Amino acid sequence: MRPIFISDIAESKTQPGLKDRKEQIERATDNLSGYLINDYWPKTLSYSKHALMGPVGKLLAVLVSGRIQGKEALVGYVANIHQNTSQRERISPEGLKFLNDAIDALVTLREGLPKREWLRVLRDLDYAVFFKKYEQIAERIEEKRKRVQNIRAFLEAQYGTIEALKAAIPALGEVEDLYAASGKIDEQREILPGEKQVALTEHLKAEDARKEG
Amino acid sequence: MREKLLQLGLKRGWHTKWAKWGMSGEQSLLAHSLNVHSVAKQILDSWHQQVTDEESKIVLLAAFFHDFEKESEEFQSAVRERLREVEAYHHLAIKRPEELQRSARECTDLNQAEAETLIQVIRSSGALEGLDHMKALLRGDPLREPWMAELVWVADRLASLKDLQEASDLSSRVKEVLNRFGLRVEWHSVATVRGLVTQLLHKALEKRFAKANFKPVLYFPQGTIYIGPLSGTEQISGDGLLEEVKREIQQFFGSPEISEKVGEKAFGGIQRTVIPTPQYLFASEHSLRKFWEYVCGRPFVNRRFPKNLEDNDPDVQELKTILANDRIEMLEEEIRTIKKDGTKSAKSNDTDTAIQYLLDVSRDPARAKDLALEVKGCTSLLIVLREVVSLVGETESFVKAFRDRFGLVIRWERLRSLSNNTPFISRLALWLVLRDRFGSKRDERLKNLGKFALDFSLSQLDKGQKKYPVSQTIQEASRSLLDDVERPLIGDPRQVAQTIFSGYKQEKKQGTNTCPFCGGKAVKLDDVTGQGAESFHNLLPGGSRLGGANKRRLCRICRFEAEIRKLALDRTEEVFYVFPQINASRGVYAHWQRSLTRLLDGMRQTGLSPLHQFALTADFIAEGRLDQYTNLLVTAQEAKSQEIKKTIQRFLQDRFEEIEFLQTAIPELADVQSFSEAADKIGRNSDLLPPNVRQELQGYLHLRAGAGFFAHPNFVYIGLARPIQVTGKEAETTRQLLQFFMGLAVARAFLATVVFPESPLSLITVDVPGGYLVLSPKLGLREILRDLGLERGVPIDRVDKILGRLACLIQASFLLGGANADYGKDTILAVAQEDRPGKILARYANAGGHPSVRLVKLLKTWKGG
Repeated sequence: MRPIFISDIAESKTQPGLKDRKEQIERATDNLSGYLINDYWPKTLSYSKHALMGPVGKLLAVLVSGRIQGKEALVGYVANIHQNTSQRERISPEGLKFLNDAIDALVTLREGLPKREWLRVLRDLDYAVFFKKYEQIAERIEEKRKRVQNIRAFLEAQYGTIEALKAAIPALGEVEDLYAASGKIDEQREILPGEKQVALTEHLKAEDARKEG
Repeated sequence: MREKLLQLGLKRGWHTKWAKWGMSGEQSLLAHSLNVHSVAKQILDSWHQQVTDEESKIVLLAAFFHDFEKESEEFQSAVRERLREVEAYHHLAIKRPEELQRSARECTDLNQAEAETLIQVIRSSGALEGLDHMKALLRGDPLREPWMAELVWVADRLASLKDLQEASDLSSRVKEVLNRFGLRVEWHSVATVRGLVTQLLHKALEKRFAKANFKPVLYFPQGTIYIGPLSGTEQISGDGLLEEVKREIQQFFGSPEISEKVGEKAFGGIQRTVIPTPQYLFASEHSLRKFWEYVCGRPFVNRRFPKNLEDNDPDVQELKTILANDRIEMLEEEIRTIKKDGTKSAKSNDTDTAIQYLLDVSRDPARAKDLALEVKGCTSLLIVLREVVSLVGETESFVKAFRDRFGLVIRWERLRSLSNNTPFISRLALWLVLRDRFGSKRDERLKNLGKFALDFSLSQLDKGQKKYPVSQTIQEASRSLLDDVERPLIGDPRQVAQTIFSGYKQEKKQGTNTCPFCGGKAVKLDDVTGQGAESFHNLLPGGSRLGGANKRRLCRICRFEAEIRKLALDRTEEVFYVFPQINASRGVYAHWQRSLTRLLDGMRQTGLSPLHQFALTADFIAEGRLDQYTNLLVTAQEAKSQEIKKTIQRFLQDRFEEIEFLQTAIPELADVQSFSEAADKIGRNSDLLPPNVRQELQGYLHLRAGAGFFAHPNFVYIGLARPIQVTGKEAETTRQLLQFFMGLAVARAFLATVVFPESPLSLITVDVPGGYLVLSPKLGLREILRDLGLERGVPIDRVDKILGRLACLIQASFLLGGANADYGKDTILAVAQEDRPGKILARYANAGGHPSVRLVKLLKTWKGG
């Protein structure tokens, strides 16, 4: 009779439990997205995944390939890419903390997971971080759109037409309509005369309060 | 007041709260409250004692609000967490009397004394729910009119019956209280739900009970509970019921929607032969008229060539060849043969004149084309007429009638050999001989021939009815249908079982011998209507040849069900049922009726089917306008005006064929230059059409919407002529997902359970588990349901959330499509199955889609965030 072997597949002692693993993944996701949201703005305007993920995309790629192993080396790798591609070249202390924590969690995870599972976690992580970054950008754009609409309403009430506005504020230069002018004023409030700036701030505050109320 | 109560219930979210739960099904608090209200009202109406308006008002309000505390989170969480624990009932004593009174005042005027009495009635009408309840009872004054509490209590007891069998085990107290109101309970039940025939059976049984003064109070899919006078007798004999069922079926055939179609349906459709169901053809004078109206209106009889169409019709080509001289001699020979055979003694055109006429026509290409089509049309009409004559076997009468009308002795043999495959030259010869006798113009000729066909058929009506009695079909169907009745027991169930078994023994050598749908005795070798032209069962031994006798064999009653479904709707691709949540009262049915009327009105106005508009439904749901779902088509009309315009244009083209006819027929549209322009005008103001054409248009739009509803309080049958799908090329799971979504939207709109049968003709025999939707998920849908935390259906408390999530899924898929980031035909499925919403966002962002907060929110909501 053929003997039956029951092999004992024991978990590695260093392997984190399921709950710990989940926590580590969440920690890594939150920290990586925290770093991206706080510190990273690509030099060129693009909303593609590649552009938005910036150094984090690169970090995940080297983690997949295993080309760089050490924690410090990984942080240095990210910092270097950040310097080359971000609008703000220096990483803030908070950003650095986010990065350190994230890489710490990732290294711990890598040690405790089988290769296949590790690659799967990295894939999930990639999209989870992207989701958070994208959500933040989409919200900012939406906020800006609403703010510009409010400014437009303000300008319309104050000046009536685009022609009257341009006549009153020559610094606006060539703008096609009130909406374009509102966009410009949103970016450079100082174009407006002092009392109008105050009135605009009041108007925007009142609008926010109305919406929240 | 009922409508106000319904709206109040919806506002308080009672449709998402449990009142009944467990193995026998689920019922929402709203449905239960409406049921108790309705049952109480019927008991009040049946009671001989006079009650004041105030008393009646308090009783009805107490009935509606009797389970007010079930809305509390304590009760609902007790139910949710431990579904069968009695502990939940500890939360039922009225703890918020002021809140209850305020709610009641939203629906009707209520003075303080009445409001106090209302609370007293509710407190006295239930079982003691703990110490607080007892204290409250002792504290208050005793109820002056104890009958009020008793009535509410007994209405609640009746409305709480979860099964028809429970009606036989009513407690002695329920019987005693009912006796005090001079009433007792009876019920009927059938074994299975088959579809339309079961509705007819329910109606027949209801009428029999009505004759014994029993009124229906609660409807279950498989039966009805009645209340009636103590002295009433519900003796129902088999013969009496048989007559009632027959009458019900006859009335179904006579109903305006169906009788319009009976004659048409005799002409193909049900099977592939020309006149497959002569019993429908000779059903009545009306059906014969409709039959010939339908035949004469078909393009093969009176088709005209649009002016701009190329003459690529084979018959036109044939005519050209004949006229190119080389076959004129052959034509002359044909004419001579016909004259020799058939027109010996009659005056006829001489051959040369006929040929001369033909040559004249050939000089004008438009006339030549018209002639070719006329020849084809006239002879096709004669072919149909020949079939009708063959059905009644009255060739001599036919020849005589033809001679009397047209002065021509037509040889039956000559006509019998005429078929669709008869060479064009022979048809042309026949037509040339008959031409002058039928009239001088094309329209006149076709009209005369059509009129003759109708007159002759009418003269044979009696003989046709004797030979093909529709009554026999009805008789057989009715008799078989009675075997479904469980109570009152009429037939002997052992006999039914014996018949099925002997059928099995005798016929087991020939393919299936039991009906694949119901297991009854299969009696007819048949195509399965509604399931493709020919269906073969999947139980054949290996190596069997398909075809011949190896087809599905249906029992008489399933066959009949398939036939009448065909009469109701040309094609039935999808079927589902709206069942009550456990049971329904007349109050709930009134809500169903109102919803259905709105849907039907919309369909007649727009031609859009509410059950196929999933994108629009998703918008409604996402906007939180779920309760307006049945008004959807009003908005659909605005949203899809182009589509509606196109449908109207198609109707006008079918109806008038050429713009000149339209201009002449409708003076209001005399100045339009195209059908498109006319459709545009009619779309804006349909009053431009004469009433009869307007009615035709409404019928056309309704038919085009492709949804048939048959409503009865026991259940609503919904048949769809086209499946719920996007393009027809998507995966089965995508279709099921959309079906799931639309079914749930319907269930929510009707506040009922929607059930999908396995296949259109499948029976619903088992008890339906509760909630809002029941289906048998296949393939990938199971995984998606698992992600949603569902198994087979949607529980009461999650309906709005699940609908909201599905609506977000659909909207997200459309958003991806708008940015060219879709996943092809199965985008909805791909989004549903993707665990990582970030991946979908990445796809959208990489395709160049502008950052969208909406997409993020939709994906988050879909994932349950």
